Amino acid sequence: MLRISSKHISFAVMLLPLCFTPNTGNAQKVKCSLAVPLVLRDKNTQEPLIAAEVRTDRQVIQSDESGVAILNGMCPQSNAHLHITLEGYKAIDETIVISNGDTVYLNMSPAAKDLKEVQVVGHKMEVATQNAQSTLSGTELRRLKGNNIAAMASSVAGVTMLQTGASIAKPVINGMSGNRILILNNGVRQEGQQWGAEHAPEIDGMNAGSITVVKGAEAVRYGRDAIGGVLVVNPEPLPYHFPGIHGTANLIGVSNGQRGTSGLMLNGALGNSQNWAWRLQSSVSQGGNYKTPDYYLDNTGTKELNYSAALGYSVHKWSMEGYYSHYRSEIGIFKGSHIGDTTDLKARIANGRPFDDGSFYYTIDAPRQIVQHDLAKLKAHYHLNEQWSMDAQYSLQYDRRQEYDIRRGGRTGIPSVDLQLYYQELNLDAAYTNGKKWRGNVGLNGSMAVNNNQPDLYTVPLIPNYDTRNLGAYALARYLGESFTLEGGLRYDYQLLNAAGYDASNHLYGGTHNYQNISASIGASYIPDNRWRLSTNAATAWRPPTVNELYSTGLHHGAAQYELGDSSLRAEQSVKWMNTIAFQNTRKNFSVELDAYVHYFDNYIYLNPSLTYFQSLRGAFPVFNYKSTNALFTGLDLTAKYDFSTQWIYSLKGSTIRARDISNDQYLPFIPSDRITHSIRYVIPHMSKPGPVYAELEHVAVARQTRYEANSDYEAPPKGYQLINLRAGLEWPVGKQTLSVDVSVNNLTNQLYKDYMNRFRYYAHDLGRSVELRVAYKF
Amino acid sequence: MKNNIIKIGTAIALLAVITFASCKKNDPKPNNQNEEYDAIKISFIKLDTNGSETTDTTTVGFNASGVASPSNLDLESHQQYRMLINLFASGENINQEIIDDAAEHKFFFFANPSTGVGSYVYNDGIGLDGKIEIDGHTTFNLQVLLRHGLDKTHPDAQAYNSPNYQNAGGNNDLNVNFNITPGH
Repeated sequence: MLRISSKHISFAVMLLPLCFTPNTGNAQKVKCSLAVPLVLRDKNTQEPLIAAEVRTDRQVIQSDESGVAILNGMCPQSNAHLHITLEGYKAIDETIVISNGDTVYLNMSPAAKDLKEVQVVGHKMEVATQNAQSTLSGTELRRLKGNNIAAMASSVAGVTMLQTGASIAKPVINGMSGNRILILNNGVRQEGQQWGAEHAPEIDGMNAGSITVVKGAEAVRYGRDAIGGVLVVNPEPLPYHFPGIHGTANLIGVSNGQRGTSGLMLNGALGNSQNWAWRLQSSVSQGGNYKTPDYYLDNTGTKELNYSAALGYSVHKWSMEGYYSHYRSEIGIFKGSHIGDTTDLKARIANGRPFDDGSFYYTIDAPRQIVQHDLAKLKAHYHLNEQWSMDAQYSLQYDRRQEYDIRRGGRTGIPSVDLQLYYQELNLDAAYTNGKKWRGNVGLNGSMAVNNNQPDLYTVPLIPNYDTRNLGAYALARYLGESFTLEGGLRYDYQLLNAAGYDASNHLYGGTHNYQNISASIGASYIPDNRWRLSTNAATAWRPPTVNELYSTGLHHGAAQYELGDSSLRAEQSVKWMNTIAFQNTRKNFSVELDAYVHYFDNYIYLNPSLTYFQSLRGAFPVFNYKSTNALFTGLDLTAKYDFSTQWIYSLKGSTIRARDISNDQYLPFIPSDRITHSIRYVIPHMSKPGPVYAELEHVAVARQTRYEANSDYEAPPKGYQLINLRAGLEWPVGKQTLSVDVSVNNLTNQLYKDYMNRFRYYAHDLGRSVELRVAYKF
Repeated sequence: MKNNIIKIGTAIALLAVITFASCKKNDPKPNNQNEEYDAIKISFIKLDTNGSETTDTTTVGFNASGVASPSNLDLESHQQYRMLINLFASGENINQEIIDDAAEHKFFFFANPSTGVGSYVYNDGIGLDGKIEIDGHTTFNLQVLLRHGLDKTHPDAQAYNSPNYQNAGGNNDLNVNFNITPGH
């Protein structure tokens, strides 16, 4: 059983140094007494590698939190044979020359991506997929901290954002967002109010230890909504067997919006054999009005306060983990986006920018959103025997979304929208492995959601009150050959939805709906040698319609449109075929990965302009109907890297999507346009003090979206734009701690631009220059 | 260890039972929506040469869809009227709400062709109450626009028919129009 045995190995890796390290120093002869620091770093990111096992002929040690392992008792001018292993990295087996005790730097290469297994439920339940995936962690992630989750994820090729101004962003994976992608936050399906385009994921980016983007349909593993991809956000694994208190302190200052963010994470192991591990984490952030190159965006301040706690217990046969997190954010909505009717909207579009220049302030007025999200989970893992292991996870989420509008008669203090959602889920998974070749999972998911509008708000709720029950059962099998892997899976899902509400005329509406679906996936990967990697995955996926798609009956104030649901909509079904070709040359200074996909939808649900107007005393509003059609998405994501030398590194990523409503032979709206980002980085990796130093110049080019239907939008997509970003930073090892400082300038040339995927492009431009300073202290 | 598992299992089961019990949606309550106007009345009270009100009043009403009834008002040319606007929600007059927030509300009036209105004077600084002079001899359309959240001190928020009223900020709260045919 490969999976379990690898766990046992890693478990042994954890324990071995504890058993042997304290003895090594004393056990050596006096003759050879050099202490040689060995620094282990990720080859690509130069991030220090923690807990790598280093074996010499005489000792077994482990790298610490700075990636340092001290080889004691070494003889001057001698050779030492090293064997270094770390999960997720290719082992190093080589002989080094010990001169006079100088620090030895070694870079480890990440193992082939398709063999790296994404850990999705705590530290035991792992999921491998043949779908294309990219992970952001370590240094790379540190430089993105302080941004929202969508902005962080968008540094992966093929991931963009759907924005409602600068502070509300939803991740878009291969053109899919909202309920067409799944977000797994610490192994739990994120359930908030994601049906709304202006509802951002309720996740604290400061708590993320890694962000993995899976760019394929993963409905077999996760059920509904995993249509276009999965965003896996995990905190760092709990530090079992790491004695003492360790942690990270972050301070981030951003000039645009004069935003400050601070974060503190403390963790450690407890107990006689350090089998307990704990973590406390918190982050606070406040920002004021954002600025475009020419003017301020009034009322775009934000406030955020988040905290989380985790406690785990892990022994040989089983482990248990409890986790709780709290997220609260208050977001000001740009004043100029509050519109009366289409006359208003057209006047603003004609003006192309707000009618005034705004000013800077931190105060948040209406319109604003207050969003709170709480997550509690309890997870258990148990090894039955060499073949079987079990995982059980219960999670409870509470989400409250309050939206305040500018209202008359002292009602501005009363939210126009006040939704409270409870979501609970029980996941059971049994993993099987037979020797080295076969692996499999079977599992059951059961969940319930209740989403209620708070009454007496003097508004008509956008969506009815509803509850859902969901049940899913799945089976997955993998065969691991010498140079290839095959995978297949099947899943059954059922959803019962019950909705009821009163419309504007106080007529009761709603009803009960049943949805069910069978999802299937098949995938393969082929690694003929250590240069090429080919993988392919075809999977069906589905999602039941959301309540707003079924029942919207009213004015969507933020969008100045009248939206009508259709309660007869069927579930959306799709099949996504994702292919990856990756190449790395023998010298390993050039790598390229191309992801190509075809994504077909039966019953793609979208908001269709009816080209009629809803007339009211407030004026006229265009009517949009939720309709379904058949759609075809095709696309390419490209990532490439070339090291001219150890100092100069060039990286490139780009993506292109073509989306078509094939029933009506027309384009689909809100599809990201073609884009390319490339950068040149200068690195001085081996300076002893300070540590690695880098400087990077990045160029972003985004094309105009020319594939749109003229009468489906108020305004044609904005013209393309180009941005220059600059970054530089260094890492300073202070004893066993690391201090890192990163400075970046986004939109260096203060370019005035609009992005098609920003819903506020009708009223305002995107952000101007921003200088960002990040200081992180890891101890 | 087995005991621990049982304890934790019991805790999970208990938590599940407690929370699963509240898994039904609440019964919705009918909306107490009295915020949106659902009717408007605009009255034109003919003034005599001294500026005093006569008993001659002409009224146009609007339903929730903004449809004017009658669609055309016959008024006299070169004649001054006191124009009173009344806003209703569920049959209740809500003018007071506008008066309470007088600092952020203002009506604008646009005649098309513009020769239809000779002058307009705000009696209350808002436009719920004002004096209008009908002019010309051809039928014109009168647009009645209520702006909310504007800067009333802005130069473009001064004239009753300021073409650049958008510059003063705010958004449309009300936007209706109807025809007036000046007689004589």
